[in-house]
Amino acid sequence: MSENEVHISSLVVRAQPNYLSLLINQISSFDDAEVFGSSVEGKIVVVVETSQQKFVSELIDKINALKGVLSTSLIFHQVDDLQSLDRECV
Amino acid sequence: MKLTRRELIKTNAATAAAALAGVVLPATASNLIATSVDTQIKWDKAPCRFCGTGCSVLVGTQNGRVVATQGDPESPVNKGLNCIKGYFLSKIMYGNDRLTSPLLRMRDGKYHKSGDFQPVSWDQAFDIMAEKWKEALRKKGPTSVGMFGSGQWTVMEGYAAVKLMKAGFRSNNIDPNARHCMASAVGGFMRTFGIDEPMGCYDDFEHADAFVLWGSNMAEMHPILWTRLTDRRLSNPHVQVCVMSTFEHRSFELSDNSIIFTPQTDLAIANYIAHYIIESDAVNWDFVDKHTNFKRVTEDIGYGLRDDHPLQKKAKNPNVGEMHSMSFEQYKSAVSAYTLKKTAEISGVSEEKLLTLAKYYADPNIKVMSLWTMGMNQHTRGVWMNSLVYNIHLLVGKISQPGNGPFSLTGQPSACGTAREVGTFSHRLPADLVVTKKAHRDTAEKIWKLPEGTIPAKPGYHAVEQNRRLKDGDLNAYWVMCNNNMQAAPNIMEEGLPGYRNPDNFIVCSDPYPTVTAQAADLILPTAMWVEKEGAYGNAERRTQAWYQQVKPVDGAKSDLWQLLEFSKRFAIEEVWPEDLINEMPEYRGKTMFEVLYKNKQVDAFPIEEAQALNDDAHDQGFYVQKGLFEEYATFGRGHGHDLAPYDRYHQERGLRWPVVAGEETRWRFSEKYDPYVEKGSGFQFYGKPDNKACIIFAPYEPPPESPNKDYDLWLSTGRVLEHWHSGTMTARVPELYKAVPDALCYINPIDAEKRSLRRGDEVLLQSIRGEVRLRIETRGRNRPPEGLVFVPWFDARVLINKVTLDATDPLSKQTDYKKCAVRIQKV
Repeated sequence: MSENEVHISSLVVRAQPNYLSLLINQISSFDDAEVFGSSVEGKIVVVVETSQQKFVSELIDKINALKGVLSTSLIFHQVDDLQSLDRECV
Repeated sequence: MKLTRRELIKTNAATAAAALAGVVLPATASNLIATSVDTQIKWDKAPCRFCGTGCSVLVGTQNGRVVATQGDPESPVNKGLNCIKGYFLSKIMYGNDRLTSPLLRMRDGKYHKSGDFQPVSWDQAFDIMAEKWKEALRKKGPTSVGMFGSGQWTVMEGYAAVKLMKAGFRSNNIDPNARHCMASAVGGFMRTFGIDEPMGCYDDFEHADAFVLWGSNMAEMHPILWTRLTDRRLSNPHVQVCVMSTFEHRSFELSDNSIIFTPQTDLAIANYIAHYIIESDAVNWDFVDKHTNFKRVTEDIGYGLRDDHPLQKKAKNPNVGEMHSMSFEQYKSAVSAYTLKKTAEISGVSEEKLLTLAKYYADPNIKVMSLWTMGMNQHTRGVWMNSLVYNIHLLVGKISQPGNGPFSLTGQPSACGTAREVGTFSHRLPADLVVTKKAHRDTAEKIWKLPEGTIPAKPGYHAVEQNRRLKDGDLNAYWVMCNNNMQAAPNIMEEGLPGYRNPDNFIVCSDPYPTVTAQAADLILPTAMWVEKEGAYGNAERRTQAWYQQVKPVDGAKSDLWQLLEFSKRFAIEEVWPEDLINEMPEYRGKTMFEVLYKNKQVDAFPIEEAQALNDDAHDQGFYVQKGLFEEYATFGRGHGHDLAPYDRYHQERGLRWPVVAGEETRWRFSEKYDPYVEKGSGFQFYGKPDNKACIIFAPYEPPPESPNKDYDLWLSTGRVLEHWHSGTMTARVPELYKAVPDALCYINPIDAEKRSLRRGDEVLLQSIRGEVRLRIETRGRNRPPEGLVFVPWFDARVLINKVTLDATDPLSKQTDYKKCAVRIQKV
């Protein structure tokens, strides 16, 4: 595994609706996670960027442990090279 | 507007997730539809490599490597979702210790049982293998060679292996690791319905009003199905979830009726429910009269141990599976012993909870789905227990309808599709045929174009028996493929390891990684995996799914299929068949086993031009070998209730559930409304049985082989955790996953810990009369055992819990009971 590997993945977190806004704040406060959107039914779209040192499974564990979280599903995952990530491409 | 590559990938990731979740993203995010990133990645579908759920995954490859994955939005199984194990699919092939060359134990330049592993060529590897196989065949005949395969084999690999062993070597000593997980389920299906695999399907999740988990921890073991169940529960407040187990785990978080029962007493609980149904006049008489027969089992059948084991000698009818007819009145009287009061006493469950459970089944207005996996299968009365649950559904007619049905979940991606349907068990042939029946052998020999009498009639050694026979020196040339049995099999210090290291034996292990099993072998063959080859799997709901090869294997590795076919080229038919058999078909004289089995104008019927450009197995053989194997295999089941679609169609679909009749899949078997095999006007037809009736089979509670006693005062149950898949061969190589759950822990009740002056994190010695392991205790966390029971996961190669477990099996299915034995714990 390369030192320069970066993992970008997206998750759908299913939450009990009454915990939704609290959970969005809690998840956003994690270093590697960004909340991209949510629905009133209790689904939260989270994008995660982790390097080799910061492990996505730990983060998923942390999210799962939050009160009001029912399940966390992985949707998309890509491994990329750190150097190329800051390149402009559009 | 300028965008970095990072922003583009993130937008891609978020868009995929939002589309699935029905979440509308803010305009700033959703407008950035990334295209330039996508163009560099080639996407294609494949079923996930891990559990039996059968999720479809989109696999992204770039420069010959898998770099991305995405839950397949078109998949009816996972509907775009993936569980955490899916995250590791892109990395399982790229562990640092991936094997790239055959390795042989050598001393002074040649094979030596006590030598060190040294790289050899594939030619040298097959030379020594063929020599050892021929020597065993010459000395002791076909029963001295054997193979241990897998529910992770592709359909074609399993089929090629069955043919190689049962027709080529004429040895029925082939068994899959599915013996450890699904054999009791198969036994239950065959005894109750006469045909294997669930009648219902995953669509039941969206229709049921109550879910009963008989021991299963779906939240961790089948997370995607758990998500479907969770969605149903949360969007329909009337839906009830009942979780039953011998210890508390994550699935209890959603539970409306939480039941912790004493190990083995599920037998009593199931009988109590039947008793309650009869007592409360809830029997569906129309259904029972038309569609069922009542039977009882032969009792006191022992524990599938060696014949000289005291417990085996004590049993009145060891290993006897015979069933006897009984009347409804006799059945009623038999289950009446399981009163609410008595069942509560035996099981340790409150009367109130038992009554609530029984009512789900008895109430005609509640559609119930029963779900189970290893808790019921890895059970010394597993076959009985499977049937006891079918009894309950049959008594009330809650079966083969949307939302109503018993559903046996599977642990491996192709436990159904390969291990069971292809017939890789020591007693089976494809499509539920068995070696013990002449008519079945005739069918197989005819399809395979082989002389009558090729396939031996006697079942071979099953999984546990194989280890015993290796130790005893009866089984001498042995090939382990696509599994990690030295870690998975029970009681390895007394049976497995002495068997592998017996100087009379030559053990070959094919694996991508140097597993415990590989290291205990004499020759290791490096294996291509998953999308490094083309293949097909069959999941728990009868869904067959195929995929194309998407990357070249790592250098040096070859698929299991290639290994099987190349090995078969090393034998002239005269070296494996007796003269009188060859005289039946003299045209086979002078041919290799490969030519007889695989160049039979069927397996080689499809030209290379039909295969993809990237299909190493096909190009190595010069014909479209996967299609040929699949089509020949499919002739067994077509017209017999196991119909598969033409092979090519599976590459266009996200799988199809068999029987596929007139191009249509079947969702609920045995129901006139959904299953074309059921005759019009009959309503239901259990056509696996000659009289079209399912069996309601009474079986009593019988005690487990070993219970806690004064010297070993705790129950031990073993199982899995979410992040690791089975023995951890693939997942333990992904650093992220390994870090999340680095070492197997012993989960223990805080009161039990305190009694032994233990604190969370203390290192302990866990001992049974068979062996011991050292590990740390956990008093909190995801698994919370009741007093008197400890739970240890079995993925950790450094904490081989199977040094401790008992090799007691279900005497009928020969499946090991990993869920209960007696242990003690001491501080180190």
